[in-house]
Amino acid sequence: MTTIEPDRASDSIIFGPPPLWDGEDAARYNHFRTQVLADIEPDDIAERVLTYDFVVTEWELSRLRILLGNLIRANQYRGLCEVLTPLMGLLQAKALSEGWFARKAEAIEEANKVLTSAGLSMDTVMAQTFSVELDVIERINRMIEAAARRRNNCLHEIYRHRETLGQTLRRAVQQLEDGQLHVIESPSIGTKPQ
Amino acid sequence: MTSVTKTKSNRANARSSTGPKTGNGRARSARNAFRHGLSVPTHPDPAMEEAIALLARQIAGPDAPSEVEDTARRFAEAHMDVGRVRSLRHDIISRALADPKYDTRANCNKKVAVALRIARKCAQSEHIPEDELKLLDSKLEGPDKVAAIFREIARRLPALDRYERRALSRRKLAMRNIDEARVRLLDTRANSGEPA
Repeated sequence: MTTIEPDRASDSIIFGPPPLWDGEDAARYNHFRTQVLADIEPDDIAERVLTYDFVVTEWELSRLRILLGNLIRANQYRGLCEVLTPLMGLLQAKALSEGWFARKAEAIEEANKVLTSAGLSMDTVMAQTFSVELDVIERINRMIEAAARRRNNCLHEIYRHRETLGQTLRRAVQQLEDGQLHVIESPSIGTKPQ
Repeated sequence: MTSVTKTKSNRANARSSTGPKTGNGRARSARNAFRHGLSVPTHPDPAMEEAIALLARQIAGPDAPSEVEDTARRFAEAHMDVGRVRSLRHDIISRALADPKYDTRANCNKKVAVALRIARKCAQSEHIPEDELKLLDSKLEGPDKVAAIFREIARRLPALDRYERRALSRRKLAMRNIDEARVRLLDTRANSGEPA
């Protein structure tokens, strides 16, 4: 696994270690973080804190989405087994769905045949898969929602911070210029310049 | 009604029979209510204190007024609290994922029951079904393991989320206060003709 080099010496103290799970690609995380830092270009440490938060929550969000997809794919055979059980009995349905999951050609053909003969399709299997793992799917979805909310809050706070300081700096510069600039009287028409 | 003598003897008995006696026992029971330590402020930890001071200094900047310094410290404390919650959540999940022998409590109980049944059958020289042996040897892997972990830790996650939300809210408020203080400072400097 590639180690992640902190951008600044104090980063590891302030932001802690990268939030990677076992087996996650550290180089990919590093690349993503560098990209985001380059895009947002944090001006001060407060923006840097918020940008790091954005990186962490976005990484978490994408991880949870991948996890949800994998979970549904890996449990499709359970959904298939549940659908096939009333049609052919538990033992046969179990053997067929395991064969289908192992992508055995004859099992796939047989499963499709049984489903078609009962007027069902893979959509039914997907629906059943959802109902089998609904508890975990709902839980992960709630975590996805929470992560998305946190990520949006980070962006909102960065914009608000920039807006507040930007406006103030503009006003301050304006006031300073107004105070320093002197009005230059133009010579009146008809008078000869000295 | 309980007599005075009875009450006295009850109290004396209770004093001599309840609670830990040794120093180790007392130290252990003092941590009975300890769950994750997130409700305790970060200051007692010297490493954390150092990180808070470093971040607060960076946030406040040089020659900051005391108002900004105080708020910067509140910001830093809240930020470290956010980090603590996240690190705890990360630890719980990644430790379970990295554990090759990880199993759910329900599965462990089932395995113990099967093991006891097998032991009984062995003692009586009975046939042991293949399924039971397979179950004893089974391990959670891949998405099944992830699903099991999420099912197991689900009860703890909302509590952690609550701590994180509170810390984030404190940090947001501190940041807004810092910005407001800076705006006031810049306005004052501009009005007095000082460089911004």
